[in-house]
Amino acid sequence: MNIFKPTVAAIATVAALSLGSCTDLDENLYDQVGSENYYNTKNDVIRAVFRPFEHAFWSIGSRHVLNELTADQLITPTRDGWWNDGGKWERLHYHTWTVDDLGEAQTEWNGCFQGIMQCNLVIEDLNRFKYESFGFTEAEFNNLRAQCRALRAWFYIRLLDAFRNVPLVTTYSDRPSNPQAEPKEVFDFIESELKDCTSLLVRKVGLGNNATIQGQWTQAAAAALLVRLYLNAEVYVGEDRYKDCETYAQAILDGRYGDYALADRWDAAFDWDNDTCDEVIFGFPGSRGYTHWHYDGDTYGWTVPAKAADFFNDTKSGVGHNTKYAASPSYDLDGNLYDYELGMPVQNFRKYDGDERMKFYTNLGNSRREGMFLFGYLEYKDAETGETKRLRAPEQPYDLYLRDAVGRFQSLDPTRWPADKTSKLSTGDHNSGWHFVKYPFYDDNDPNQLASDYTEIRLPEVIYSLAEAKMRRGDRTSAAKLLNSVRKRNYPADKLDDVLYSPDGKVRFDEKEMLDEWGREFFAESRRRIDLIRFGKFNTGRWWDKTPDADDHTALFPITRTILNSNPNLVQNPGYGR
Amino acid sequence: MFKDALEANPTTPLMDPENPAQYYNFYGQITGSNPVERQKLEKDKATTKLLDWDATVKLNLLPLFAKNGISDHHLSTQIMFADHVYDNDNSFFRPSTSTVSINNGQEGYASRSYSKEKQYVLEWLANYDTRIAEKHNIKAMIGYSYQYSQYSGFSAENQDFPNDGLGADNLGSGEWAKEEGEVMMSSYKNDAKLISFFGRVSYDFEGKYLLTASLRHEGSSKFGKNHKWGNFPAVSLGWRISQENFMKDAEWLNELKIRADYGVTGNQDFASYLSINTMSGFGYYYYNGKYFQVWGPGKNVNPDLKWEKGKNWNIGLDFAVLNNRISGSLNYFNRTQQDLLGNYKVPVPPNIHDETFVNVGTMRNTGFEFDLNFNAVETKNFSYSFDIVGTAMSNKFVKFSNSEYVGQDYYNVCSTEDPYPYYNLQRIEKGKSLGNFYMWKYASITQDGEWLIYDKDGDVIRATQGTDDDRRIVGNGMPKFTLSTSHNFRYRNFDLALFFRGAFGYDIFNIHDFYYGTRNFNGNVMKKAYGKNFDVSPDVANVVTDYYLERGDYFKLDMVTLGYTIPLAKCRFLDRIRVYFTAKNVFTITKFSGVDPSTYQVNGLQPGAQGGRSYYPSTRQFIAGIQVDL
Repeated sequence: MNIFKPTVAAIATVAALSLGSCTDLDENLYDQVGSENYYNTKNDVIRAVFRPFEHAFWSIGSRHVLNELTADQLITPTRDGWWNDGGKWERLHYHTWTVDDLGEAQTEWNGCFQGIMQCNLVIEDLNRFKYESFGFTEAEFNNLRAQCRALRAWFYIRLLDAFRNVPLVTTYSDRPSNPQAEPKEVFDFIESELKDCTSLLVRKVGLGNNATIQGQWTQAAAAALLVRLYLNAEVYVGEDRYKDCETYAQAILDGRYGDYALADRWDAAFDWDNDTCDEVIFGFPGSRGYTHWHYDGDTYGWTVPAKAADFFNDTKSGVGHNTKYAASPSYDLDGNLYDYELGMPVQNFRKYDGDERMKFYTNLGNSRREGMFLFGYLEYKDAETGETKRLRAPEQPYDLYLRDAVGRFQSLDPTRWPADKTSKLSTGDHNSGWHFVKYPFYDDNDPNQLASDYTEIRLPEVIYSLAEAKMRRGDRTSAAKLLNSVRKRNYPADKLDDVLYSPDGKVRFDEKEMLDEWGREFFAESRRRIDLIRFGKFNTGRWWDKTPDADDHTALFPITRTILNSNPNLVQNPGYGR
Repeated sequence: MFKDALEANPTTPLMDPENPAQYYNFYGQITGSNPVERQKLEKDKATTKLLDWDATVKLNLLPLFAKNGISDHHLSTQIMFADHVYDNDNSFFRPSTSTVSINNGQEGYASRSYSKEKQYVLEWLANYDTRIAEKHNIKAMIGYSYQYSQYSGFSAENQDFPNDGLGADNLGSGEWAKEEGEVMMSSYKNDAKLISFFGRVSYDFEGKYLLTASLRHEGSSKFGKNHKWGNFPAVSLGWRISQENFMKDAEWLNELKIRADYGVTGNQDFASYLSINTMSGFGYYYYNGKYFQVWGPGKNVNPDLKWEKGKNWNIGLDFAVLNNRISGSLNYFNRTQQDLLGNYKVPVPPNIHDETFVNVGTMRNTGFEFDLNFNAVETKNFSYSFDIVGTAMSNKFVKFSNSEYVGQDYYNVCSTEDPYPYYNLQRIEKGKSLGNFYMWKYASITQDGEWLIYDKDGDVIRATQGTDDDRRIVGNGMPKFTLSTSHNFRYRNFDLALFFRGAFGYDIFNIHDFYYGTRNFNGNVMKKAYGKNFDVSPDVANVVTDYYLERGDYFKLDMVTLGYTIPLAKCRFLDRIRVYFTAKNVFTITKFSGVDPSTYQVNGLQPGAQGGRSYYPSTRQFIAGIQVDL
């Protein structure tokens, strides 16, 4: 019997041990880091500071859809059964969206506020730290914090623009659940933040050296946001701030916030080496291997035919091309030009002879391109056989012949027009509407494929804003000259007299030209909606198959039902009903 | 693969007519790749290694320490250790000659991944039982259990290999990962602990009155700091009426017992680390001349995360009569699941993400089950027995919010896919049952082949003008009643077994009709597109309405087995030889016009609804066998 005693003792010991030590339920982390242990080195701070920036780059997609597909220049027609998507694109186009079905508005709201909360978190963290303990200089540390404030202001401008009535939240850890603020309160916050942090930001000195500070909010970038804010102040808060817009725009042009210069060609701000382009005031850095949200999916990757990879020979880029965006048509299905005041972007370009951008998009080799549009037959040399082919429609057996019109052409001879004359968003095919290339699609052998950064603010925006402010304050001559200073790079020297506004050329400059010129220079740059609103055209205008709205409640987007329901503090924007 | 083969244009050649050594490139078709080619050229391998072992040491303390080794009390203790290791080694390779590679601009693609799941359990138990005065039976048990789980793994991929012969065995030779910023590898690791203390006491009086009570005090590492532990009691009562003296004369009655039980169960089946603040890596941003991976909060933290609790009670009756010829049980159940765990939409701000993993909501299932067995005939040469099992159940989503989390009172679930995306088939709504189909009500089709629907006022409008307000509940995908029955016959040396099952009182959205049933689809379509649905214009986008909703009721012969036992002369080595023939999925009686209705899932959160058109055919199997008993 004695032999059992040690066994019993052993079992009792094991049991006692397991009972004593094993009520511990703390969690152990392996592939992530506990927040309280996160900050140790300078690089940890840098990685946290730029999280909202990386998110901001991602977030540009919803803004593009909201500001372009609701406006007069870009369309997403149904194409041989593609792109119907339950009427989603029609609702955007005809301004018939509801609080239930506007997914992009939900993404825009959440995307911006996520960015704002990320900024608030980082700013709070930085406020707790001493710069020395992480090996920062005071200037670098303050610059990083000021940049987060500038980025937060950029998000708030987007919210003011899309929703107007939004909560103003500037903290993180106290879990703020503020109700919506008056737009003026948000406006004043953006204004004071930008003015406040400008001096803490870096000032670009000299030309050709932007690359080192690409992606950083600089003094000029913050000032350009003020220009953006003041230009639209009348829409946002009903205040005439054109004078302030002029002041800041002029100061940027005078070099007070750094050294910038217009590029000599229109596409320099979009090209692979645009990080060195002195026209770029703020851009999100892109690279083929790391990140390129502007090429991904539905911003600039889907502005071309579905099988465009054959045409560009860029399958290795991984950009899955698609036909989401095309230019709104200029012609009806008898081949007659429409006579609407708005829309017809291709016709607007065609109006002034010799426009570089009207050239057929072609990769010239050595990481250069020409032209912005794709039209007619898209002929290319087959990479393997060398024979010349025409790009075909997907799923359908016809060669593409892209027209500046929307209808069911399919394999119809280019000289003929279809019998069915209905031209509307639901009656398109893969030939409908000119396609375009803003950021270049270099081929698989080009070392600079997908190397472009995404240009968020460029000098022409400041110049055009200044021109518009001057025009509105009655100084048309100065406005015309400012626009000409940009425009002249787009046309051959011998045609300038016919294309520049007087007094530099023969063309009469007026308000309509101002709006048209916004549309040409900033074609497909995610801003058309606010330009139409500022000129009073967004709800009253008529373009292609879009008729005026019954009222102007769609100038603001609704707070979608999911967001409204999750936050009982929120009040829906006027005209939408809860 | 089946889906691709189904919807590929049937006139598409298998091999490229211009280059017969090359598979035909499906690029541009709705089926993006050649399914035969993928089957033949791609190498997809998985090796799984499973190791399970356990050891138990048990010691009978009483009567061990009792005088003379005899005692009315029994006390034993045991320690059990169990270990479970599950290793997965996967590799995938697609050669450069594949049209998929060509279309993706890849000169071959390969990946390799390894994952490991490790789990061990240590459990200690002590059991005690005794019998007092030959009448009172008492049993008691206490115990402790510690369970540790760990999941880890890594994977690597690459493309553009110098030679297709390398397969997935020389990933480093690929060119792609040499590009700046192409990471092409990943690894992960996480773990969790589950600890419990438990005890149970049961008592019965002469086997007539039965009582059991238990309590489990259980903790999981996944919950919030102050919410890790939960208490889960259970109690059950039983009365075996057939043991009572006053029933002794009822010889026809073999067994009659009524019982009731109530118990609380817990659920902690979700990912670790949702209750603590963490930082995770995201994409890249450029600063001071180089790219940094940026880091930020990866989720909304929920420090109040606690056990989801199920409160269940049952009332039942077990019986056997007529010499056990007829036996069975009847059961009523009521299961309430509260503090349901799940992702919940929350406002941004104050949150940084728009979903938090929370305990919100209550769901209730109530129903009635029966299980009846009949030994109908029992003679020397012939016997026949059968049983019937049936369940009638109803469900209700009682609550969708609590004091802290208020959201909408419904969720739309089961979304459709390209080429008809952005529709939801079902809505889960407060106060209603799961499985409600929520969509427009079909009215008719116009002369031009456009869909007409009823709006919320009952007027007929074009579907293109329909809004969310016009959607409504048009059916339910949760069967009101399910039934199965098996029948066993024996005649001399022949035996025959039949197994039937069925589900009744529910609807199915015929998803394959929706995608393939009209001329709108740009691929292979069904005959219906040119038959019953011909009036739908090929130029009009398909819409989700109850046009595609059908009764799902079915009854099928799931299995039949016929066997014959060969009579053997006395043989030293063989006891018995039986030959048999089995057929599975023999026939289905249904009015549903789509695929086998039993392939539609009727459990879970979206019963009867499937948003995608993926298809795996239900097979009919025939098995012939010989059974040799030694």
